[in-house]
Amino acid sequence: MAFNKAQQLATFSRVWYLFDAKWQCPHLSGEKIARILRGEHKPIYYPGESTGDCVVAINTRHVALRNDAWRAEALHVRREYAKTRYDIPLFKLHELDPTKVLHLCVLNCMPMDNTRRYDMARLYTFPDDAVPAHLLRNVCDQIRGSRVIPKRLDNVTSDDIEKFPQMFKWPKELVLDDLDRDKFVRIVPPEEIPKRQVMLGQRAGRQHYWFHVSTSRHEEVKIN
Amino acid sequence: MSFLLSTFRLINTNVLLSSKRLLHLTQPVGLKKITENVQGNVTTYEGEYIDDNERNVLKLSGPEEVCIWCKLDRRSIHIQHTDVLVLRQYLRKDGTILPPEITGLCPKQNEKLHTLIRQARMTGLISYPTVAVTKREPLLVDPTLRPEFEQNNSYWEKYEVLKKKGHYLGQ
Repeated sequence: MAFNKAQQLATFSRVWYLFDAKWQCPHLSGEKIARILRGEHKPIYYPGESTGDCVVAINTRHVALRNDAWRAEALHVRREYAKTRYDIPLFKLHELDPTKVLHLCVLNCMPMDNTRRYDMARLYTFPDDAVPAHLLRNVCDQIRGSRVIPKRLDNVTSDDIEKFPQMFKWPKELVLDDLDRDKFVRIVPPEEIPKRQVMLGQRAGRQHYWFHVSTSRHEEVKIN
Repeated sequence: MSFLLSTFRLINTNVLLSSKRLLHLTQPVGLKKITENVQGNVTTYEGEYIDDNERNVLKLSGPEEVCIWCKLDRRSIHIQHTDVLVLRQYLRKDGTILPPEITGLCPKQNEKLHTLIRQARMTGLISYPTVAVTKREPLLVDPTLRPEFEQNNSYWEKYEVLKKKGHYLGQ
């Protein structure tokens, strides 16, 4: 007698994975997740067939981008309607929709195919720990992230500090506590903080702002 | 070893409450500690020598002129911005960085230290200094508030890789 039913279930059933995106790079994790959504990690994979597995990604709000990307890079939005081109900086995009960064990174790693949107529909992203119960019930395995969560200075214990060797010998006449440093501190009231500058005129040609610039700002007309 | 430095009337500002202790260091980092005592109209400043860190200092084989970080590079141990236990030894309690005369680093490694601490501040592992770094420009912004683009997590690539490619190091 051949016991094929269990083997069949094990091969063809759709597995649900959990992925914790805290402090992970979205590009590197996007490659892993895209591979699993397409089903390329299975020996029964075939390009046209939907053999992929589902992934539930949590904590996408705490995803970590490389270097200075939150400030320096922007999402370029272009639609086929007039005057709808924007450059949304990534820190603003994250405020508006915290799951979009990971979603776009996974989308980017999937090949341009008819099955792309169907495979992306198997990805469920949540900005925090809260996941609906009917999805969490299906989850049975976890994808590992490649990055290590760094330690903050506030969370370092005194044991670690004492066991760790000193890098240099303190000189004899060193004083590390100065008493009247507070003379140099001045907390600026919010009125004095400079406002956001918008370049106008010819020099501001190809910039597409994500905030609205009202037409009244373009000319200052003084009425005596 | 205590000595009287000066006697004058001091407006007793409560230093502990007015300064913002954002760094939680449990061990005193200084070698010499200055304490003040007020008895009537006589203020006494005492300088005491406290614990020495000599028993725990990392000693690597090599000539004396070569700084420790150069010796670590030779052994291919690269310090990263996440190594908070190393970086905190070069910071005062206000968050400012110690000068190279005290730390004994060569100028190239001092640059690297400054860059790593800057990167750690931007990722949120270390807090910004609570005092102004130069006397001429006072601290303008409340250090407990972070700019909007630093409220999310980020990570920095290796210092050597970024320097070679000529990328932004976090100036």
